[in-house]
Amino acid sequence: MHSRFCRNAIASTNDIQYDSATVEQTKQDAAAPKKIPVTVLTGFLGSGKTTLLNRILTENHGQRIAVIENEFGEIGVDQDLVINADEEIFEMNNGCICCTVRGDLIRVLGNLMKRRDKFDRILVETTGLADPGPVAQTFFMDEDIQRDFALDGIVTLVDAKHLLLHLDEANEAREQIAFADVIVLNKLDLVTDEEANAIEIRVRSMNALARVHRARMAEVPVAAVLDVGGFDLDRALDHKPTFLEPEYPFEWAGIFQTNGDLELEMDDGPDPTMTILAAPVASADAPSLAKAAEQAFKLFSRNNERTLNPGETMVVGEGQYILSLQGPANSKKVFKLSCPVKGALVAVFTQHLPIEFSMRVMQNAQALAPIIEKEYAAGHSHDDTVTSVGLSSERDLVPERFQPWLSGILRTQGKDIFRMKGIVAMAGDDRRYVFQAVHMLMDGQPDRLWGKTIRSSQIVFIGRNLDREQLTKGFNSCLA
Amino acid sequence: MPSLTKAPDDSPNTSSVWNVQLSGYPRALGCTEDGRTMAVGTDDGRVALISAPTGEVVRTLKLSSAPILALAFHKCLNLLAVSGEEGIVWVHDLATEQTTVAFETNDVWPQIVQWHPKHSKLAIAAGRGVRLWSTDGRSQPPETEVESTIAGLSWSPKGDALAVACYGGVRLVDQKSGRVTRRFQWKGSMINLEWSPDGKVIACGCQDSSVHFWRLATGRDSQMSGYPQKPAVIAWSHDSRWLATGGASEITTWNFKKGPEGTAPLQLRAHDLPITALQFAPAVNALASGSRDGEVFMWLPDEMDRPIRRFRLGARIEALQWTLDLANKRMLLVAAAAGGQVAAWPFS
Repeated sequence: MHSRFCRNAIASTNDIQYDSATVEQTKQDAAAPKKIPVTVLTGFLGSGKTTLLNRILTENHGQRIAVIENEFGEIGVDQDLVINADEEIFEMNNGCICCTVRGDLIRVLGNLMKRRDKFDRILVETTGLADPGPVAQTFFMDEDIQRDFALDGIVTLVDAKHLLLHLDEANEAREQIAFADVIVLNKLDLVTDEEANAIEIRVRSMNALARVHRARMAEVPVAAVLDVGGFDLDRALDHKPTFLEPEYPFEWAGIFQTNGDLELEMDDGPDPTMTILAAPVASADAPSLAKAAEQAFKLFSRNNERTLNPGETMVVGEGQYILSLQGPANSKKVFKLSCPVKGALVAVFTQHLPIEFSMRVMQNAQALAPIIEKEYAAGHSHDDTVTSVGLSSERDLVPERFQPWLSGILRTQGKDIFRMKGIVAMAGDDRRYVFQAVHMLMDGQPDRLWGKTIRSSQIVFIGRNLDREQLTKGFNSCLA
Repeated sequence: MPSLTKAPDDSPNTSSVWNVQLSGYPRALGCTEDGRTMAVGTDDGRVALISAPTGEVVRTLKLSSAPILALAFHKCLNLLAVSGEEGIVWVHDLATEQTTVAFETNDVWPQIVQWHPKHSKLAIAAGRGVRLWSTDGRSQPPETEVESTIAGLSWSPKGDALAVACYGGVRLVDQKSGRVTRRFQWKGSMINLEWSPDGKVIACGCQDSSVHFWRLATGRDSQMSGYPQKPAVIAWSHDSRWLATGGASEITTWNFKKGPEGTAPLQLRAHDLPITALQFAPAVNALASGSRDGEVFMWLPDEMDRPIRRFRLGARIEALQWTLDLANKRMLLVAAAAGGQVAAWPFS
């Protein structure tokens, strides 16, 4: 219940009722007209937004489209309406980032609703330096806009040739990628295949939720950028998030055939410590190693590591250890690895490449070679502050713990969280619970029954300076 | 105050004095001071001139293929100003039936037009700029630019000042020099502006779901907060007693004769959906309200918090206008709805 009062504006901000703003989805009754979908095109100047816009408009889609253009390009269209409008960012006096909206969109979209013949779709072409946050928030914060329009998706065009430069120089470039539902890697004819792969890896490491398309002249199928359902709860995580190997906290793994205890010998390396983990595996093949890597990933994130000095013993299957490599320079450091099961296959995961520490695995004073080994490209080799963190479990979540945890995260870190999506299994509930968020604005609801699908929970955060370890810890504490 | 007013009739009153169906979506509504002619601007670029007492469409001005944005009748001259989305402001002379292009804005929407209360001077808000234009061709000061697209504009009742609302508050613009002479600040976006008829207070609805008002005498900023939605429409009563504010489904009316500082507002509840139009009658404290679902209510806030009349049109109420029907010694309330329906009901 809202109370109304009149007072002097000075010192009144404390009284403004504001909390972490759970925006309840306003269910439209059956008679209410369908919301008009809005697609937002972002991307740096020269990334090909106008080319894509023209492609969409000239395609024979049979829809009436209105275009709101913040960046005045050359669009040639006959039947569609193009409206030029300057970006106007409206911040609120309370300083809350999630209350910041785009005044130009409110005004223009409001006018577009006052027409006898409504449009089937709206496209918004933002400027190269636009922050997608206020654009997205406009569709959740302004009641009139929320009632009549649905943000379908944010499509970000990337100039493959200049992306790395843009990423290093501008927050806006990182944020446009972070907010995207669809990323078009454009102008690939101007880079080599290796460069294209590197760009895709970098982009995916920042935004695991987006669908990524490759293009030369923005020639992506129109269906790939329209009807994305990026903010549609019913379609949350329809598109499987893509997590790349660079996210592993270790750089190398190998599976060894043991025949008793092992010894790890190493020399000085670039770091004074190295984290290591050894676990039993069923077989010495790639799937087995991949499975073990997933397990190791979870264990690495836990905060139960112990520090060992040379001469001390670690045990297979007992979590990770931090090996202290301090001691006299150029001296060999030896750690014992106790293998409780004789003849077992053991996977060893190391934080750094073994070669950096000249690590040898010894058995009975003989060097032992791994049956299979794999290097994991270092996720921290570039210092992107924008990353994706995925949390998942096959166990149910306890609602009484999960809800306060999640709203606490959004309240305290919402400024740095650009997008979040999740589907979770709540203990004692037959239905899936789906939600999504933009900064602090969250929208969630119970969804269809789990039915024959295996119950599981998955949340993906895309944000700046995300603390994977803390998030994992918090999430794990909510497990039933 | 004990009320002798008849209890409200809950069934919608369909007995309109007249009812017209227009081809376009009504965007702007106005009436001449003498109550003879109404104008309805629509999204098909037309302006229908309607005889206010009878509802007869006297003439239709086909001005543009783009939607009409705003229109305004001059209080004493026979002039109608109209603006449209293609960036043109027209002036139609009701006596000679001539329409001239007064001004072109170069593709920026002239969202508001308002005549000076006495002189033949027109204020036009287009984008971030406000300009003046005069029928006598006299040169006017250059465009005054403010912080954002202008969301509200009003001459003071005496015509000695011009106020515009934008992001960051209200600016008073000097009509001779075009300079901003006074600023009323609030870090937030204004969405409308109404100057009280006694000239003492400027009020604005804000995007942050509050209403701000400034008393010109002190310049002090006051805020009414706690609105569940942004107050998209606000209106003053003729005697400056009531400021009615709407946005959500209830109308919040503030009494400026008793406060409003430290007072609780009078809440008028009857609509089910958000309020889209509010207007007070010219000489009595009768308030008309319209909502998204096409409901129209009449209220007497001096007397009670229940509506006295209820009407209904088929679609969202876009605009309301009271007119004087001098021949029949009554007032008419005219409502324009999204479907193009325009209807008038009596108030006696």
